[in-house]
Amino acid sequence: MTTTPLITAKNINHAYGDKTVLNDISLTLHPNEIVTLIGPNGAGKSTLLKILLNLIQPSSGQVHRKAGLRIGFMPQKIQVDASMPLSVQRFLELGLARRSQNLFNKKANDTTELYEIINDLKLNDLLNHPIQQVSGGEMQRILLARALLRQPELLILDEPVQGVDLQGQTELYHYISEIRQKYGCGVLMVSHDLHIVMKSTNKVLCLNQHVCCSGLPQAVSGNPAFQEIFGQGFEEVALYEHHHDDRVCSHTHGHTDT
Amino acid sequence: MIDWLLNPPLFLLLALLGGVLIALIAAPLGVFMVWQKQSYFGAALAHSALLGVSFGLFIELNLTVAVVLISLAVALGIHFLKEKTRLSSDTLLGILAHSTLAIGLIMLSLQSQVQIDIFSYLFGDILSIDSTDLIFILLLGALVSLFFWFHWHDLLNATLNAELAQIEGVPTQKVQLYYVLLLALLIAVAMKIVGVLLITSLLIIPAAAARKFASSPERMLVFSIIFGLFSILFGLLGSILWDIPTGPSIVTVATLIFVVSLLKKENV
Repeated sequence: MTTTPLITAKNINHAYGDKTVLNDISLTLHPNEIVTLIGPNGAGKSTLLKILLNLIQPSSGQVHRKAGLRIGFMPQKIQVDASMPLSVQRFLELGLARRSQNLFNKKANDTTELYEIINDLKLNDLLNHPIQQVSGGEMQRILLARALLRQPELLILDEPVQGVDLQGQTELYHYISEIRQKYGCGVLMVSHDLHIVMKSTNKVLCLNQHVCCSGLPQAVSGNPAFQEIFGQGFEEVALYEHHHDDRVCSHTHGHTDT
Repeated sequence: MIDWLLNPPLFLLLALLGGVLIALIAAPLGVFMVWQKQSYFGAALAHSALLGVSFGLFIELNLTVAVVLISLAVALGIHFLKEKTRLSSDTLLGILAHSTLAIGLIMLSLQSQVQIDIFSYLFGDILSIDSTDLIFILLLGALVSLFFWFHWHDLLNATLNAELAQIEGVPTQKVQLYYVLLLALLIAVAMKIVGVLLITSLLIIPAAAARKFASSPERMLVFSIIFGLFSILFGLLGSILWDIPTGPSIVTVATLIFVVSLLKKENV
């Protein structure tokens, strides 16, 4: 790709106290490219994400972000205390709040773009619902919508499909893939599911403190064995096969079972 | 008595004005205290206010100023200890609340020649508000208005999810610190009205009662203001009519409002 990279990270090391969590990680994120970061629990995925998001500074190494890079972030989950009366619509509008500054001129925001996103993600019927009462899958679409409000050049999703069944995963991947096509943004997705990734992923990085392996996922939804187990209609997911050097990576991810 | 109310003396007007202002100031701080589940934080700050009183007596400083200083120190202490230790804020609050209270009581007992009405600090004495207090309250009101004018949405976002807010450009640490400092200031100046033991209730009870009537954060704020004003006015009236301490009287009215609010059917 000839475009300017969105984020380039070089030789990132990070330690909490004397415990190393990231060891010499380098990666580049390009526009219009989907990168899936997978790895077992404790592999340092969240730490790497925080470093890329500029929430923490790495112990050593450099992160270079494109000047003025707009990042849309979708957190893993969000727990709104029941004591706060908040509709879905208001929650989304709060994503625009930073632009209007003070308490009383929230209406001054241009909301056309908000409604376009609401339409795209089919959130119309939910707008007046209290945010505490939406389902897990709906919440993910809401969080995705809020991330998109910032017209991101890079969309970062922290375990977007955690706790969601394959059906829900397929749906969400479908939305993400449409969004990528529509806005041309880069996507970085973190997943703890080591085998099933989004099909249109351009690159899979397997992290376990260091980058264990990377590569492309295999299209499996047409595979008869896959269809036998999961049925049809899962065009958006794919399997990722790990190629680890056993001398470097002691963990197996249990692929011997599959 | 009626005649007295129709043609009120200055101290009663000062009390009323101070009370109304405190109710207005407490409302926005109170709703966030409920949303962030910080009521124990308020209680801890209130306990430490007593240290401020004894400290002020000890070095012969204006008591409001002394309490402001100690409350700010304790608020900052909690804020930074939270980052430096592995203890939960719950534990830290427990330690600070009771250690400051203990030290405050020791300092008070050492000054046996000083006769102060400790009861008025514990339960409040709204009728003793003077013009200096009123100036403090007005200053605090200006600070709180400024803060929420610019950071209401920031603090809402920080309350919803600090990480997301930070990525969206909210200076979460700074906003949260300002909030905590304003809370410390409020507790220091409101101590005279309801007393250290009851101050948290003035913050959280109107907000809690407002929850059922509100469908947005702003409406909850408005209802909280209304309930706060109502509590101050009728609490003060009750205190005068039946010669009962003002702080408990105000808090009891607030509690009655809360109990009545429980009867309302769930809105959202």
